[in-house]
Amino acid sequence: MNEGTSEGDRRLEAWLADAPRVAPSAAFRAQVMGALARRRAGPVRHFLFSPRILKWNFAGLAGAFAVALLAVGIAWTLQPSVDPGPDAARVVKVRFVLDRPGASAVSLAGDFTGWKTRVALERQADGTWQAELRLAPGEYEYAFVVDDDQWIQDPSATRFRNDGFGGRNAVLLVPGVNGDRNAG
Amino acid sequence: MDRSAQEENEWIERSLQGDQQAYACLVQRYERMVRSVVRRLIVSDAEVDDLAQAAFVTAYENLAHYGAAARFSTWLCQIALNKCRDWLRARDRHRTNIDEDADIEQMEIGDPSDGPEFRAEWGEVDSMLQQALGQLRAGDREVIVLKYVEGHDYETIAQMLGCSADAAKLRSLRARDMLKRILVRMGVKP
Repeated sequence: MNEGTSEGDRRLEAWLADAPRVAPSAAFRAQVMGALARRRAGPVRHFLFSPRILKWNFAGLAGAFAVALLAVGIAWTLQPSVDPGPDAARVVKVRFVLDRPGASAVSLAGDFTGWKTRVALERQADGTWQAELRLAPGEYEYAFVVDDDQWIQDPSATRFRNDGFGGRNAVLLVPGVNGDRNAG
Repeated sequence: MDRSAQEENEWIERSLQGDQQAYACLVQRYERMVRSVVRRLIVSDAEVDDLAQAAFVTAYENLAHYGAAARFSTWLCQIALNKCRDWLRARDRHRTNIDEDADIEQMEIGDPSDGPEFRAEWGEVDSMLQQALGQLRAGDREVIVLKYVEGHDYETIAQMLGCSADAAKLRSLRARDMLKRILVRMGVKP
């Protein structure tokens, strides 16, 4: 790969280097310092969030380690014997269905995937796309992604919540009992 | 250590002791850099100051973790990059389909063979560059902004992006070629 040898490359680099910069702004500086002042207000916040340098030595570190070890030992001794109960390990099978016969790919993103990874839906003979997930009881927001870049609401969902960006996500409530539940 | 770096270290030390005026000096020194980087990376003027402000607040709250291994500007720029990445991820998560061809049509302002210097004022060139940057992948946009707009060397870019200097160089050249192709597609031949 060449490094800036062509005339076009040099011109492009010059455009980028000469691209206008943001003008200095006293208002911006005031805004930042105002935000810091608001965040520092209150002794608790000040104690928690003010930057500080901690000085240490090996004796202090060993003492802190001993205290932590003691605390863990006490907690371990005192912990109650908890029966996780019948609901603890329960998960519910949820089938997500989207009727989109013209799509070439459909996936699913939501709270349960951390929104970053997506679950691919499989095309069915009837033109629908389906995926089955096993979810713990709880409330989840989700959306379908059609052809990798179209985010759409589940048309058959009954509950929605504003996503904070001018759109809405579907909301799925997974009950705390065993059994199948369809979404979409 | 030059006088400027020495002064900067003093500001950092005083900020750590709670002197907000000292931190204001750091903000004043780097606000242009941070706001310029953010503007080019998110390609949206509306959010620039909010994200830049968030970067400065995060830097302040984590100042005790700043190590002298990197320059303060490098560390601060890393924080700004992370803010932009978070914002872009959130935006992309909620973005609906965009018809990019419609935007490209609006950018046509004359005969490409004339070159932009003959048919566009600098404001228009900047607008086209911004438009073209917006069509790059976020990672490519980062290296273009850091290398060619902000003028950082490959070692510094490597520190910011967590890669080797060779990788930073390779990515910069590849991203520049990509940007050139996008500009040509928009009717601008560099």
